[in-house]
Amino acid sequence: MRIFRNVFRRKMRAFLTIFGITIGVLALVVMGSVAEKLQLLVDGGVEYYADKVIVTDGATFAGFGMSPISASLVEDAEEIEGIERASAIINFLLDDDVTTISMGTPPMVEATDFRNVGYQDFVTPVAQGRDLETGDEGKVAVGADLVNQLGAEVGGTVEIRGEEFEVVGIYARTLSAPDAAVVMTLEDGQRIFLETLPETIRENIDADDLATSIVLFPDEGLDPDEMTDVVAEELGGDYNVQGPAGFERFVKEPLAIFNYLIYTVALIALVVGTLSIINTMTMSISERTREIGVRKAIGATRGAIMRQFIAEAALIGLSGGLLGLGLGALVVSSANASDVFGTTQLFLLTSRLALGSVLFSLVLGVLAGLYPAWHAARLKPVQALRYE
Amino acid sequence: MTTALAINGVTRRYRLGADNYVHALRGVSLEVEDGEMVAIMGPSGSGKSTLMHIAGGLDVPDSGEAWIEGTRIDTLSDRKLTRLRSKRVGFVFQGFNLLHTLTAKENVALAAEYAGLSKRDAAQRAQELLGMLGLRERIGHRPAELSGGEQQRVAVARALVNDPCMLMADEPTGNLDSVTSAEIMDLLARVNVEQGMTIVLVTHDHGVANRCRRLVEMQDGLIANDGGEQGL
Repeated sequence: MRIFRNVFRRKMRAFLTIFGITIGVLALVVMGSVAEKLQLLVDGGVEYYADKVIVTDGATFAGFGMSPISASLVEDAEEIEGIERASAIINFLLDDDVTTISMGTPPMVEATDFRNVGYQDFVTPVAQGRDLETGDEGKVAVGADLVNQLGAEVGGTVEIRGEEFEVVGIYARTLSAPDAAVVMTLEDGQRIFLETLPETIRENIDADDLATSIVLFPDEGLDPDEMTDVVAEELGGDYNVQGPAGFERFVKEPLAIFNYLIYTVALIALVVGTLSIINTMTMSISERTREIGVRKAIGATRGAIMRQFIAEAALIGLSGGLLGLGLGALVVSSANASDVFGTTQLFLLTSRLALGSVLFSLVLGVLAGLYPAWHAARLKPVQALRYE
Repeated sequence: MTTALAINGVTRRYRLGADNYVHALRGVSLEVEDGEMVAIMGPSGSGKSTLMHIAGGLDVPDSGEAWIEGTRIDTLSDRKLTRLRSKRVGFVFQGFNLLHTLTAKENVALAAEYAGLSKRDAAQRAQELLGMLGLRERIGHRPAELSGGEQQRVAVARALVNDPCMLMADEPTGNLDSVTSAEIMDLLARVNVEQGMTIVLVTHDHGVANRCRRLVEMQDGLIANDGGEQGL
């Protein structure tokens, strides 16, 4: 209580200083929430790609294929020694309005032949209804982030690229890419995807042979990364063949740079806030020089004076941290609830980010208090008592 | 009688600027016996406050020695000197010097906490002492809510809370009217007589000085007259 009274003896100054830290922590929490969400997306991707080799058109890279290739590659791939299973996939954007900018993962359609079932480790859990299965033509399962956008409910219908589909299931939220995906059968996907292709290409392609990627599952014990060269050689042609390492290389490094940048911006804001604590504490100590003299006269050791002023600075840091966290949580939840950034929930305020932000502001408060407190502790009692 | 305070050949000068010094003390020697109540008088700048600060361990001399109850204090480390001040010397200042964010009880208890008492014991001791000084109803008030006399009584309570062997008072009645001054001097005299506490007080006021058994007069950093025991 005494610390509170000391800090808030100049209320306006205390609040402004706390507000400085609040802004810094707010920036850290909001920007950190973006980084946390992207990290989770990448972790989901890493997990998805961990057990497979992806074959896409040679014009694409890192397994993000949306150019057409032949679905018959499935049979060719399963002939390769060391490949146990292959599955054809079609990926295309859910929305045909490509002018829409979406942060995070854009809403996608994934059409599958279900040949991957039982081979793929990454399984999206179902929250309502059931998962899609073979023979479910005209039906879809919907990712958690798209439920509101599509007005999806189990047993109801949704419109995708002008066609009505029955919703058989809604996936549980994974906080990764499948949240923004609609899953349909390969046949349905082939039909819709064909319509998206330019007419000249469309005329020369058989819809039944359409895929955008072939997913290969190596025999148990074989490293997918070591199989990429074998697959590329065996398939021949102009294909892009990627293992898990390719995905990590493509995504992890840019993410690390992105994280570095946004955390740096947030930290600069926080450092500015910290300087304001140093300024406030220095002014406070200057104003309270006589008080320090009295405290020393009646028995306060240097340690006691140091502890007192460091505690006051720490309180400022902690208050700013808690306030910044509260405001940050409000901004993050409001932004996630709105569709400003598209349907994907762009922010993820994790407990480690929340705790880290508050602890960091507390530590900065302590550090900011060190010099002023040291200065206060070294004052000579007589000089301090005579200070006017 | 034992010696409570001994000052031997103490000098102290303060630097005002380059090669510009003021000599506050020029070789002062003074002995105060246990249980004495001594008034130090003198014009402004005569060195009386500096003498009291050195005698109380708030300042250290440039040369000479200062002893409190057999302990040489001018050579003590900052930590030891702080500990000695905390346990063996109580201070009362002209401007009361109470911490205005704390209540009367907290002001008194703080000195006890610095001396090592737990918060609970310190609060209890402060409450008892303030009650003895007639401030039982005022313990929860902050200095701004107290009269000058009440504030100075709180300051006296703070000075006494650790049962010191000596009380140093720098113009303790300087900010008080004559009636309140008399009350504070009654209080200090009572402490001196009833507890046998050594009291050294600096004052400009002859009326206050006359309440003390001994009067020391200073002039230009030297003791001009040590009247010894004076009639009350």
